[in-house]
Amino acid sequence: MRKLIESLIAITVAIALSLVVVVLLGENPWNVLKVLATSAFGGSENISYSLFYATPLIFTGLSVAVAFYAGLFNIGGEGQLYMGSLFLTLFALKFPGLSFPLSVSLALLASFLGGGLWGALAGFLKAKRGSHEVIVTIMLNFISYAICGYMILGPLKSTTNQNPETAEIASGYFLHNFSANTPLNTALFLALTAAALVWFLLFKTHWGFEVRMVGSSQETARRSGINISRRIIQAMFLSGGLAGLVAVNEILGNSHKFKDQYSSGVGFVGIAVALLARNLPLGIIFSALLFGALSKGALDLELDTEKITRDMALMIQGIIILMVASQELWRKLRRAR
Amino acid sequence: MRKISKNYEGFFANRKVDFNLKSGTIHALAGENGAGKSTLMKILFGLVSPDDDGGEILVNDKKVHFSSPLDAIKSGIGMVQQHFALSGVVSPLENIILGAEPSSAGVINRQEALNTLKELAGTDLQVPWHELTGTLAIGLQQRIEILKLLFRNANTLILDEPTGVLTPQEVQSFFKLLRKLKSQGRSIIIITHKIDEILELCDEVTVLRAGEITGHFDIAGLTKEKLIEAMIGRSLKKPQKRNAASRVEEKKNTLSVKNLSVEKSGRGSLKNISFSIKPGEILGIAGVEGNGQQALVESLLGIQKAEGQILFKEKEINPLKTNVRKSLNFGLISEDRHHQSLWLEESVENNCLLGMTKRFSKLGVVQKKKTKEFSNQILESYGVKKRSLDQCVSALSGGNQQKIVIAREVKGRKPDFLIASQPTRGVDVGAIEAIHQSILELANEGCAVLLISSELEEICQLSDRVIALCDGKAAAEFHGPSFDLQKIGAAMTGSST
Repeated sequence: MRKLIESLIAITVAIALSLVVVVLLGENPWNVLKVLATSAFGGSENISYSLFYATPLIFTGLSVAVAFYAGLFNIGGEGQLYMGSLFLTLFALKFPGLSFPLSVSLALLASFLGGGLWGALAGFLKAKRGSHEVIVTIMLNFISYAICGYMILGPLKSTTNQNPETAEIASGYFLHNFSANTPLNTALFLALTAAALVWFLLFKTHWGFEVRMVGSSQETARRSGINISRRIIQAMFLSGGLAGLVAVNEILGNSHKFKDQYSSGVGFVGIAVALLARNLPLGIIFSALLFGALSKGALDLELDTEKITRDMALMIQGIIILMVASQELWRKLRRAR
Repeated sequence: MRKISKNYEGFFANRKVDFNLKSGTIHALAGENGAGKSTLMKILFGLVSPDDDGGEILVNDKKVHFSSPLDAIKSGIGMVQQHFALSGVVSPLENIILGAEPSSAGVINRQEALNTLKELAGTDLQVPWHELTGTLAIGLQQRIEILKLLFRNANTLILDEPTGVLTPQEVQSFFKLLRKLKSQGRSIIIITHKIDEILELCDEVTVLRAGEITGHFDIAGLTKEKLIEAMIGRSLKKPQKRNAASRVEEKKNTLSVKNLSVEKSGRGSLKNISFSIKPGEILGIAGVEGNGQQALVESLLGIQKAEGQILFKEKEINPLKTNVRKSLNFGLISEDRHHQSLWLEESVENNCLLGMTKRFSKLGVVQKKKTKEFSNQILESYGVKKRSLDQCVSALSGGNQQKIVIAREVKGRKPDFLIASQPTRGVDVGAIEAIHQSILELANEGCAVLLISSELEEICQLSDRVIALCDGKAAAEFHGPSFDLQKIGAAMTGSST
């Protein structure tokens, strides 16, 4: 409850401060609010877009949260989601003949596996060599960009056009779109299911109990006989795998091919999503919806106002992060007194 | 102090407490952990504000109101907290004058400060004024804290658990210092739960239990038993004598260690230790802290690499990792309760399950009903003061936290081999009794116990055999049933041959 109130305060203050910037730029704040709101929630088409933008954020938010519970800061979401995309694309191009339930389930597993292995690699280096996961995951991001860039521009290159993208996957892999006009697809349900499963895994199972203990009280965990290395690697596998599932929404649900650099930073926004939700899976759904709506709204801001660009969404995100972090700091200071 | 109360969300840390300190005396404030001693003194020092229900504080018969420690210091009251507030990277001199620097035109007059301090310190309190504070011994740091108060003209000194961090030799010179301060007409309040110290040093004692005063005595004519009864509300039971028949001599060793060595830079290495423990036997390791105890525990657990041979039930376990060794049914009571024994952010119930959740899982899902039953069952005999199983374990007092650890490791895990490292550290007399009883019972059931403690009396009371550890070496071995404290003490400080 306290967490909810604090998060709501963070959002309110962030929007208020952003409006101050709007005023300083010489725009009408009410107009900006109106554009934001209609663009994000006005009519079924706009709502569909907001939900479509929210879907990958649920995956990456969960990904960051899982790593957090294990005491790790996974900022390799980008790299992991690209590796997931690569595995998924490779699989779909290799087996074009499969049809619906089998094709999608196996593709889903492939993307999970791709992201998961990339995450587990960072987990392995952390557990066995003590390499700091922040450094390792950042570096793995770049390696992943390079591998995927090479594959997209090389072996998997589409032969029908000059865009940096792979050939299209077979239609047996396409996810159901709710309407012809918007990219929103059934991957949203996958994301909601993933949130429920992550909650269950973390808080109701033996595995989650041990992972959380490793994350918050490592020396106690070691002395309780828990295999710390194994739990860290497993948690990073799950974390990376969740990020990898972003590919399902984008490739199976929307573009039907792997476009180079398609993510527009959802791996990183996932950090903000998890932070605002205090890592609670249910909260992540809502915080992803908020950030999804913000990205959608900001696109139209750029079109409908003179001086405001889509970076407005980034600014609001930034202030929310500052607010949440400062609340944490405030609490620590108060406890210290 | 009259009728002072303080409640935290309905829980009274102090309830209508009266406390009188006569000038020129040493007054002990005694009681179990969590009895409200520190809270009461923090109120006196202005760190905590009391409930507004008619309580008042009088200094020299004048009513005062402290809203911060600054007010208290102005009235001549100073307090040394349990954890010192010193900067390690500046000199003692700077630490002492910090915030009260004698200065002219904004420039600190160090020489003047030093002269005043030297005078204040006399011959007993001299400290190396210009060295780095962080490099000094704990005993010296404590003197610096006391000088800090004297420099601010404190007439009343409050000391929170001052001897907890000192070695026996340091304690003696510390007592000498306090007596001297008393002879200068200052009054001292000592917060403590160590009964022997109260009887040796103090003039009066006030006892708190569960936030209320349960006794106020002059030390002259006071017996140990009476004081304990006031503290825990009943008299202490003597630990049950060991059931000697349960120890069959020809049994095989549970644990045997040969030539175990751990190399560490600085203090704390372990040098060529050999010993063995039979089922049902308690082996005590006596020694001043920092003489290799940590290396011993960590090498037995496989946290630290060690040379030599460790046999558990006649099988070599050297190459095994910590989690595998623990699964051989090792019990462990760690010395650092907060960081090594407990999961502080979690509930009492979850802390009863650490490392054992698999037992209560079906297809990986923890069965809440079973864990609840289990936690209630193992905690039952310990009388842990808790509001519910869901209460956060960090909200409990140290004694109650330790009882949970003991319940988990002894009653819950039912180990074949228990490492008990400083099992009663920072724990009050009532809990010590329960912990000792548990360890003895466990040994009677056939568990081999390695008891590591710096409390010599505890070692002698519980152990069947004692090894004195000095500088990482086994200085001497003693066989029970009765031990000569003097001889062991001499061996562990390296003063005998």
